[in-house]
Amino acid sequence: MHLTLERRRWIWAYTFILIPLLFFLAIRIGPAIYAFWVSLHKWDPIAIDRPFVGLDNFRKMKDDDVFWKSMRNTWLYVILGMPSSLVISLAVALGLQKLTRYVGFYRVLYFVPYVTSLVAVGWVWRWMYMPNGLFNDVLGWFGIGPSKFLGSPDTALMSILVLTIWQGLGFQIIIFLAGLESIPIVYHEAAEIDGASGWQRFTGITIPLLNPTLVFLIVTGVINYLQVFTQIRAMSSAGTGGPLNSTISIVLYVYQQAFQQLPAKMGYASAMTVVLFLMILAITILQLKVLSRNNNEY
Amino acid sequence: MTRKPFHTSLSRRSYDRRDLLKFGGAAAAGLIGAPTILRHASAQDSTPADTGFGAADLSVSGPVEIEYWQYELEPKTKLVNELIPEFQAANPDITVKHVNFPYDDFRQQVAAAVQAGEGPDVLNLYYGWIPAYVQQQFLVALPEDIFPAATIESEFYPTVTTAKIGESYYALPIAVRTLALFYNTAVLDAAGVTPPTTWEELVSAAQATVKKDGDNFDIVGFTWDIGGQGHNYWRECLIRQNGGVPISEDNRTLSWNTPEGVEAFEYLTAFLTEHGVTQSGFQTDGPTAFGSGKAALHVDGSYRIGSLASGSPDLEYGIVPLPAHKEQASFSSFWANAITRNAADGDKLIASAKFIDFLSSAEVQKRWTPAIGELPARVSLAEDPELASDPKLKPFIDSLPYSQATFMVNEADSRQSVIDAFDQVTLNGLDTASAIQEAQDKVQAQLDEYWATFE
Repeated sequence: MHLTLERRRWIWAYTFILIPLLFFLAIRIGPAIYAFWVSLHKWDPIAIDRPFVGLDNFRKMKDDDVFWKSMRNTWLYVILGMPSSLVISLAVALGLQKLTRYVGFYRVLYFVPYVTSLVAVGWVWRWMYMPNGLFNDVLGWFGIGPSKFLGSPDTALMSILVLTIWQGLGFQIIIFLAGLESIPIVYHEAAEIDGASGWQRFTGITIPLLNPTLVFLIVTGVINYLQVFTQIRAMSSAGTGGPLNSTISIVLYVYQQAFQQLPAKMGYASAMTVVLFLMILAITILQLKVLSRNNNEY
Repeated sequence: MTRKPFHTSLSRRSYDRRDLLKFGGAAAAGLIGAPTILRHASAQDSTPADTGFGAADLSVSGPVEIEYWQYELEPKTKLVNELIPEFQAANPDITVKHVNFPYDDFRQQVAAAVQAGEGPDVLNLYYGWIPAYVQQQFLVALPEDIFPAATIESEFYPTVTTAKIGESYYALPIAVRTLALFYNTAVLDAAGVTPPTTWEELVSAAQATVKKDGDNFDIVGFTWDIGGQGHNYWRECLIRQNGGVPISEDNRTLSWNTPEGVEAFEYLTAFLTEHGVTQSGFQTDGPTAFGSGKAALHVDGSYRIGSLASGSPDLEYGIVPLPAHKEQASFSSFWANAITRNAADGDKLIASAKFIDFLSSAEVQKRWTPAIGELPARVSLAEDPELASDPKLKPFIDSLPYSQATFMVNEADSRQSVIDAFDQVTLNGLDTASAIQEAQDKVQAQLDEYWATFE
């Protein structure tokens, strides 16, 4: 059989796509769809019966205080964490862009936390947050009394949030730097000749042209914060999102219900993941619609 | 007497569930679903009662392989790897496959394996998980004719009764652990105090040993470790020492919010809020604080001896039984071996029973204690001169006769509820009785739900 060049290309392309695609379907998409099925059952993997319970698991959330607490906390992580990490990383990226010497060194410096294991980082920060740890020593120098940090429901969430922002900066800075590099220097030069101030150039040129970068970072940032888990498990008191559920996130609660309870409440946990999935889906669509509007670059 | 093997009773589950418990009365009690193995020999009575249950006399009909699952703890896996060849040499037809996995993954691993239609024949599990696994019909009762309840109860410490649901035993420990008081020798000597033996002495010893620089603690007098052993210490030791009974005899009703319970709770919180001798989160947790020499007194289990030996080899410390009050009490817990429904009948059941019998024998227990730091579960070994000569193990062994294990249907939530109660009082200023009541209501609701499934 004679194949045209075009056709042969297609075959090659699909061959290359096929294996990762099958893998992706089996490992990611399949289980995700399966979770919808599980969420409609009273599902304990060890039990012999896994009765169908319809939407009972979803109704149960309504009266579950810990679920609402985890929902509230998760949104606090998003609302407080995402914007502040964006502002800080943009500021650092703008500074780094100006540097001409030791650029590589600084980039590495900011990126190192991102590639370090979050569990390890979490534990080190936990030590620094201790009553007699580094942070309280520093506070002491300024005559400020010791803070309970992770030990109090008032400050624990913020303490974990600070680590989360710090840890994610490296990634966002690198993406911002790439975005900044792609803005043609001539725009800035032209604006400068026309007498635009630094701030005017920032708001008139940098921000609009960074829009694709911003959209990407906001979307991935929100998703990351909505799925926050590891640092809470590593840092909160007893690893359970305490004290008094003040740091628990939805994903941590899902994990506890699915894997730490006996009997395991896999159905209920799956129902919560379905809610989380729908939430992320809705927000992402909304963000893409709102944030990318009026932007004809892509 | 031939009873119905487990798999046939599975098909009539509603009937079988009732059978699991004695509440159905004598008629139902006669039908309890414990699998029974026809004995091939009647020589079991001549076996010395204390060395084993005589399952060694049974034989399998052909080669059989069983899987033994236990979590990864180096001394344990190492010893079991030595024991398996010995067991196999005595039972050439039986092969034991030893499977290990990280402790944190325990429930996931078991769940995933069962979901996939695989999993252990014999499972080593924490005693607090037995009720839930029994409810899920994941475990089968230990064959009554090999492991008679009366024999278990006369030869093992009373703590083992938490492995009994209804009339049947579902697991048998190799070893048990108790709580006792660890003290830092140098710190106590420097303060000129002797190890405390009463509630009052514990307070004064903590006050004498605490070292503070302004608000900063250098050494805490007594560790604040609710998330570690502190929740067990209050629930199972302090309440009983104060004359209370945290849970009814039939394991159905909690009585935490009683004058005794409240008083015990306030005794413990006073270390943090009134005496100013300790701090929450100091050195992250109690064992770390004690191991790094920054705590004078610390309540912990016998397994801590092993981790202190490897983690803090230079620490000089001693151990005494828990300080007593109106009465003496300690908390005990254990990991036990159970047969799963994968080995509900036939040769697998026989092989599993023989393996459990072997692991719980006095010979193995005697080797287990020095290697692992857990205490023998058999009463007869309490007086064993070799074990009693170890000054660190002795206080734990001495605590065994008055130690009890808490019956728990949801271990994670029971623990969390007590932790929350202490946080509510010490962080949120809630009054003690309300905080305890909140915790008690939550755990009681789970107990009610649990027992309802058997009715």
